Amino acid sequence: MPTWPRGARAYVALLAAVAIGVELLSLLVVTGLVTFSDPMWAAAVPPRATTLEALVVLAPVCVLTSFKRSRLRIPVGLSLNAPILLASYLIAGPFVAALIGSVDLLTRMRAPLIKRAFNAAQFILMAFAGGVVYIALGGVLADSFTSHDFAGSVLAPMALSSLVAMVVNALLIIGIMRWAEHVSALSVWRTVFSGSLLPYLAYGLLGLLMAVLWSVGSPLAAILVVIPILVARWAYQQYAEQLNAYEATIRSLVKAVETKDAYTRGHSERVSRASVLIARHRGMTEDRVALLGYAGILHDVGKLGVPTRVLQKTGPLTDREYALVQRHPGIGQELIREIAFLREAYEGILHHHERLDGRGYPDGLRAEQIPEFARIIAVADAFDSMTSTRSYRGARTVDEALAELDRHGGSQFDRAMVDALVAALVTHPWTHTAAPAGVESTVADASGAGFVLDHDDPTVGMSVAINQQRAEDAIAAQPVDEPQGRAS
Amino acid sequence: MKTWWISRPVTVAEAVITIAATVVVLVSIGFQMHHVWVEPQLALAFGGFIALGELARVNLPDGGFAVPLASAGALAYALVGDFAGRPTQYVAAQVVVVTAIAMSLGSLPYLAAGKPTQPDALARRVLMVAIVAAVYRPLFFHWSAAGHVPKEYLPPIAMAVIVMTVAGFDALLAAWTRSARDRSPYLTALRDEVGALFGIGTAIGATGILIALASVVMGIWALPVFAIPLIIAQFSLRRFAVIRQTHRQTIQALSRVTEVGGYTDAGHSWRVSELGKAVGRELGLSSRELFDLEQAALMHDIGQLSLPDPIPGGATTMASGEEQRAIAERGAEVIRATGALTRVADIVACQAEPYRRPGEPVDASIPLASRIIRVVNAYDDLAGGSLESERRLDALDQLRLNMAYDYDPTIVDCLTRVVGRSTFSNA
Repeated sequence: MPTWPRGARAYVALLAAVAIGVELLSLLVVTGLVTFSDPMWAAAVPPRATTLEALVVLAPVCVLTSFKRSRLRIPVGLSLNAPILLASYLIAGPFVAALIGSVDLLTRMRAPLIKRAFNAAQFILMAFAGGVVYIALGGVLADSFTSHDFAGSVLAPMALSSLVAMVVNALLIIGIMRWAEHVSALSVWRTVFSGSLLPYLAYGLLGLLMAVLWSVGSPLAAILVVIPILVARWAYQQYAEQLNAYEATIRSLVKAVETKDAYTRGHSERVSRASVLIARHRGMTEDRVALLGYAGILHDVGKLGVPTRVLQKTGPLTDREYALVQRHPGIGQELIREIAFLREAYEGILHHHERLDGRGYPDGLRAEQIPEFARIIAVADAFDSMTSTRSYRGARTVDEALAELDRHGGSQFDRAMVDALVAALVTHPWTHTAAPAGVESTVADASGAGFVLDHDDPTVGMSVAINQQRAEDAIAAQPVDEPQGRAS
Repeated sequence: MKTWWISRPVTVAEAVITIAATVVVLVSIGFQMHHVWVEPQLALAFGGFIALGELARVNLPDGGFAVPLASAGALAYALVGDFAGRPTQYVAAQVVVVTAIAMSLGSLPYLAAGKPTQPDALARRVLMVAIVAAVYRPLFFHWSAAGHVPKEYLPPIAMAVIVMTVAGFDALLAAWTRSARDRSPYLTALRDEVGALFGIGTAIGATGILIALASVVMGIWALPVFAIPLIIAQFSLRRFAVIRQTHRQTIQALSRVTEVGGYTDAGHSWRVSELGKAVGRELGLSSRELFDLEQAALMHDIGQLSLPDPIPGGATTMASGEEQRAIAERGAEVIRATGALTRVADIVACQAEPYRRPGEPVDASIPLASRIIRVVNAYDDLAGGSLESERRLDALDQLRLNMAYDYDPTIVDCLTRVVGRSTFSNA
């Protein structure tokens, strides 16, 4: 267990002390040992029966939603406790709500005490603060809900009080992040609030709905509301987990393929990353960006169909060998054709070696005939190749590579894509995750004293493009029946 | 057979359920012919909701589909007591007729488009709604006729008990059809069905009860308001199904890298996975275990990529035990690196282990799925995609010769049955 910094411990201890104070006060009020003379606050303490009902019905729900939260692996900004606590103070006032908030202590027994203390204090203070503001603004408890002046006596106080509860929650989190993780307040504030306005609104409505159902005499209905929402979250979690598994699977299978070709280790991932940078900069929709990311990862998968001895050959390739290399986009496309989801990615993979001037392969498409995905991948591919170390040359710097891309812009590459990459790299500095130590030497071993030419390297590709016709002739003259690499 | 009907023989279970539901619907229609329709607007509103819900069905990864909204709507219609402050009058027969018509209308477009429909599943839904209505509506009439408003906790508890009981009964019936259809043991099918109940099933039940309870004050607004979480859940389910399908296709596609690379025979991985699933189903693997088995079978040769030269014909069965084990280990490593497919990696890792060693009892630490892959892989190495019965029988004979240690006899027997009736074609 990581030890918590002293600042964090002191902070949590302080919060716990305040929370215990609130709990004691609430207990005294709820049991009737302390009474209010002010009618507004007297009304904030519900009759004994309602208190009991609220505790019996809402506290278990709170426990349930707390448990659920701990099992979520994806970051879902908000805990489902928030609407329950909101409903609690709408139904039974701030004091009962504070008591209900404390049941969080009963959950996650295995978590470190300091964590549980913080979470419980968080819920208690949130519920209490929200409830106090609600009453202070003239809000009435669920038993007194009327359609007359519903807006003034329920809606407005509820909206403001839940806003206060949200801010209290955010401040508490900022504190703990500040002390325990040394994260700046601003970035926590941004994380807590980014994109969570809609959920807050939805959760606010949910809390209100529970209170309304309660007010018309269906406490159990108020509870049932939670179940479909829990299931909806569970379904989303299933989806998110499956998506993660999917992406992890593609990645690792591609890595397996890359073992055949020592050069390209990590290459596919980086091409995917650079492609996504270009696409985002061009304002592509996120759906298509995701697809392009997959296409980038898979773009060289067809190399598996190219004989290993060709891929690892030292020195310049013969025409026939080069023709074999040129088959990889087609083989790759063939492989993933059955993945219905990746439709647009096929073309990107099939045509990632086309050139704007029509001298690329496999189809010799020109300019606009080349699919957008392919034009993006072509740039990302060449960029990563040039910024990677090759046995016949060192890695170029990013600037050198961009200059090289620019030189070939218009003839080999789409200038728009090159420009997008240049612009995107200004805000997203390129970190070349180099292959782990030892890989380079493996390359050297495989290639002996010579060197392996990288087919993605545009400075190498230049001379080959001229040989395109000769390569095709060679293939025609000497049909290759088995590109499977069995031939020794 | 016509295209709108399932293109496989109808099992007894499906026939019984469909006939039972048809009888119930016919009797209800007969009853309604002689009685007045009450609260027609309500019937229209709920009927429309159910039909739309049926239309917005979700395809499930196992090939079936779910209609959470239609089920919840029908359940709610059966359970509505007081509506907007006034007690409702319609009887169970009306619920059955409205539900049956609405669900049929909702699936018409799919029939028309030639898409698969599952008449037996629809029949089961109608049947369950009929039972809920037949139990709850008289209860409600009794309460409201007695003149006293039942205690506030009583109706929801009664509803919950009825719905849960009926859901349990539904799971029993669903397991019956599933085990008959897949030739899997009944208990396995039941386990899967009960598991499904706890997911979307809970949400359907809760939403149905919720709409019925809330409509006391909210009237018809309860329908759209409380459907929202279910609609959201349905969206997630749909995306889940899509990504799962994609996952399956991707692994299928990428499993062919060994074929393209010349390491294995064309279609080998696919055949091993199809045969393996058929065997696993009969041996009682749950749907989750089957999914793992399928993925493991597709990727079982991925470790061969680390070999400098392909094994002739890709037949790992011919390689030495050491080599086989190294390939399995290497493949498992690759899969384990995904971080998400640990169970699949374990299956692949153990595929080269004999199920027992000389002088020792059966090795229980080897997953059933690994043993299945070992047997089916060996069979496919020997028989390939051949449809010649002679070659198939030869292959099975060879497996039988090695049943003492290498191949689990239960699995070989099961494979013999599966091969005997299958027509696995050369993909």
